[in-house]
Amino acid sequence: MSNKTKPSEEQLKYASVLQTISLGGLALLVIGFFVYLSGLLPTLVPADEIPNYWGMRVHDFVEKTGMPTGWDWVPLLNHGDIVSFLGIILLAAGTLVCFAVILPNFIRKKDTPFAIIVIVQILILLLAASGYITGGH
Amino acid sequence: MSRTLRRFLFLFAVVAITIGFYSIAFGEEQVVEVAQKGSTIVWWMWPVILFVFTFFLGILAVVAGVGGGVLFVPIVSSFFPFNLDFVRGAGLLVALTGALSAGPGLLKRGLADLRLALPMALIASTCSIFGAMVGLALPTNVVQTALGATIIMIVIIMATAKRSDFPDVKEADTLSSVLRITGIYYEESAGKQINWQIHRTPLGLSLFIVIGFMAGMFGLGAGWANVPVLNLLLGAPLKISVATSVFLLSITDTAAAWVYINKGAVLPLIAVPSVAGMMLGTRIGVRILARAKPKAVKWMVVTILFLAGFRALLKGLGIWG
Repeated sequence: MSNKTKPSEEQLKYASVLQTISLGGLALLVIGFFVYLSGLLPTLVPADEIPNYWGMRVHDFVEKTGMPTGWDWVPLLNHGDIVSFLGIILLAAGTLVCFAVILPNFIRKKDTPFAIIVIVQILILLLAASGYITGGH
Repeated sequence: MSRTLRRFLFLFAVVAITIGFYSIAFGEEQVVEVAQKGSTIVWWMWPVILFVFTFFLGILAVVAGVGGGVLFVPIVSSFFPFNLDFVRGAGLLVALTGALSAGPGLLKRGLADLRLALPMALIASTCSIFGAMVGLALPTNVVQTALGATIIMIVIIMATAKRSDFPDVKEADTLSSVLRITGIYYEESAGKQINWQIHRTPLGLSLFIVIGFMAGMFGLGAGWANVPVLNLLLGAPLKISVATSVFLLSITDTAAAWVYINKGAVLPLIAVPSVAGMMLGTRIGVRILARAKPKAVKWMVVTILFLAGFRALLKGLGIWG
């Protein structure tokens, strides 16, 4: 790859961080799922009861099962069904981490438009992840 | 068509027809009831069937050159006993993990372009959050009807949209010049470096409002819309458009996925087998791709997608299912 076609430093940095987090997230997803199904940890809702609820709308499911919403799952990490969420959370958090990692590059290069775009993007993702915005009832 | 592909298509047809007939014969409510009581089918069979089904779907998606998410939501919501809320949550995760897996390689090879993706991603991801909120707030039949109509529209786009390997962009527009959205990549088939730039950036950005909203609302990946906009409207070369679209999905779907996760609409029992099946299937699909005739498979997928969209439409309107 010649210098002209070589991706920018921030692009390569983004790719490396994303790769690490994606692999970690997928591994955690599989491990967490096996912990959940194996019964190694107690569950809030046993896996064999989930079919009673998976035909319901999500707000009915939450109401009937008492499953946590937003970040309420954090204190419940000693439960198998919550552990199975960890991989999903890591996969969803990966992009946010990547943006935080490349922001200093844009600032250092005085690339103001892209520094602003990245800052706004981080804020948008933080808002989405915060749990303050949800749809529905 | 190779023997392997024929065997695969036969197996896929058997699985799809079995699930389809089962779903149609018993009706959705009875299927749920049967699943709940476990009288005919034990509960854990559904995640197993889902895993097998998404495995085949993953192979088909690669061979036909479409995203897994766009196939997953209409087909699974039509033929499995899961509520559309959970199917969309899982669909987003399927599309997201696919994009996260492919994204780093495409960025490192310089095919996905960070500067091209970031402004579009900002608009699309913001709107995908609103799409997710609206999708979770509307009644299921309304979302199902809109999903059916959208899928039929996607089928029309897939069947008619042309692609241009190297669109002719005579002059970059002001906005893309200010943002320095331009690049050079090495085109292996031509054996030379290709310089590219884009035009019509404001119009492209405004279209990502709709694309992001729909991605969030229906839990679909948005490659079907990203690629035509990046390639035909903005004028990015086809390879750059396809790769940047995949990377864009990782950002758009992340934003919407958080809304579904926080709402409780991502059920590991549905999401994990789907992600695992789709990822294994796409790996096998890449191997089959070398021997397959993608055009024939693409038309098969377009037909399946049309039928799934039509079924979703009828289900949403209360006519069938």
